Amino acid sequence: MPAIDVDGVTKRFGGGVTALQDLNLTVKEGEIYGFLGPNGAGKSTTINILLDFIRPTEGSATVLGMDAQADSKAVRRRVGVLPDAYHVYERLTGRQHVQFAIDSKETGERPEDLLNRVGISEAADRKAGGYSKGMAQRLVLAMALVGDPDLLILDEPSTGLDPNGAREMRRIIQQENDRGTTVFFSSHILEQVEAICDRVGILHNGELVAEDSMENLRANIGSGSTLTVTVDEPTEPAVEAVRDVPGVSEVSVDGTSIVVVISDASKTRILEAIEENGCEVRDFATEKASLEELFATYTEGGRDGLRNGTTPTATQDTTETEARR
Amino acid sequence: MSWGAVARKDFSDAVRVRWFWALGALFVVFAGGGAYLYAEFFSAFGETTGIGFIGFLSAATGILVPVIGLVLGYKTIAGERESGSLKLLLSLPHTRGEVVAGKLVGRSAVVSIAILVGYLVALVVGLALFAEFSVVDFLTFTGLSVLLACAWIGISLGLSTATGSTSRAAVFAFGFWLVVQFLWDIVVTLLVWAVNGFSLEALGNLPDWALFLSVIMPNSAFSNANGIVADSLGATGQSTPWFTEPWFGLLVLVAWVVVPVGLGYLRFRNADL
Repeated sequence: MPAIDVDGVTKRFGGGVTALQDLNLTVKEGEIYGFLGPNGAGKSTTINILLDFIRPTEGSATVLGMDAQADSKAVRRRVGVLPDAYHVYERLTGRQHVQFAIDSKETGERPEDLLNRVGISEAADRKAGGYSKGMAQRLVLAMALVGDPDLLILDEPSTGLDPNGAREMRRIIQQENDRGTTVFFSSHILEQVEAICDRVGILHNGELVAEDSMENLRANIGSGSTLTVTVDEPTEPAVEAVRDVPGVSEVSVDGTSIVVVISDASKTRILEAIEENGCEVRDFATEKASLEELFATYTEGGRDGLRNGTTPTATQDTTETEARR
Repeated sequence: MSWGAVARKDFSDAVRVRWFWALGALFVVFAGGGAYLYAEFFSAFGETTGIGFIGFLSAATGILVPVIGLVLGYKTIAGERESGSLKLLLSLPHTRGEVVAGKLVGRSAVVSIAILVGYLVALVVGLALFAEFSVVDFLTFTGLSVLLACAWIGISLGLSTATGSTSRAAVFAFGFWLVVQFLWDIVVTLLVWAVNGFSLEALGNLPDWALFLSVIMPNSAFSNANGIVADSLGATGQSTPWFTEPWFGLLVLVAWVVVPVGLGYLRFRNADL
């Protein structure tokens, strides 16, 4: 029995907006499924249908073998949820939030244990209105973990978390998965999905454009990174030398930067090649294949097409991208 | 019970607001102070009685309680929908019906406690100062006041559930209050006038259907239901058909608790959140 089975779901909102178009999706029991897509792709709409917050125009969905609409309460009894765009009860403490979830699921657990697991036990008796976004996110995760759910549905779980918090979130997800919990989570950040997912579904404009294991996905997009090396003055021999390094797929010059698209090559060898040819390396930065490029691979026939159209000015490392969210 | 968890949560959320204590204080001043004033002034005109005081308090209750009921209720569901806390609530195993029921119970408990505290003070003052005072009568009246409060909670919660936006719920609630408090009798009178060929003669003695229209409003129902406490408090006039009896007033009040919430739920049940 699949943990989630979405069958031909179409959702049209009033005003003719089609959020989902004939979506088919299967999440197997016990796996971590990454639901990937840019903002507005329909990820939250899908999750809202699984939780019966909204009703599909066509098609149906089952969660843990139960109809998402008809048996919604039974579904939510066995599922832990971290919704998007939620809001905590500002006047209630963290402990009261978790206690409410415990009362609602009638599990008789101790709020401290759950708050401990997400690492905010020291803030248990503070009003949640004073929590940072990251703490609120942990609090709601604690509520989701109440009753040891069979399935976790997490909508953008890393929102508002710093890199440490995002790592911690991944650790908790992994740990729950090790205990046998199926995890379905959405993200628009490739790295977060890449780090822990068994399988990934890519949603684009309300349609599933790819569904694959992480390995296959990686193979399709290559190891996927761009190395931007800032030098005093780029020379033709240096560029040629880089081009000859095995695993480099593309080299171009942009002002004082040499931009290297790597499929599978050693950074050190590239830097050496540049220095050996009389250029002084002043700075360098790596950028992993972005989600946009991944989409390009699946929807527009290759990341190169996109890459050529844009100037690679973004050179921050991926952890910085995460931190700024 | 699932709605029980929602009600408890809603109650403990509401009592943490400063205005909850202000509300309690308001009722203490209003009812306790009212009892004191009644004893001071009316003793000059004759014996102070419990029934006399209830009549005095009933008129004031009919003004204060609806406003409080509306203010307490209009944000309940719409506010949670706007802010997104409803998603937390519905991520847990509650049906939408249980959420609405829990809110109704939680909010009703909040206003009931404020009323009970205030009227209990009035009870003590009355026992101390009035020449004659029946505790049973006063508790019955207190119960009816709580029911009136619940009716107005029902109305505002129903609007809040149906509209999904606090500003719209507020506008509808205020509009409804204006109609009930000030305009309804005029509307009924105009109807009678129009039905009778725009003749003023018919206005002296309202036909039964017009009387019926006026007793189905929550505040008229409340004052008619007060007839349970003493005949003199209920409906008086030349014509007193069956639907001006206290029991019917009680029934109408209960309907105002349940029907608006039920209608609001019917819209909420199928809404995309």
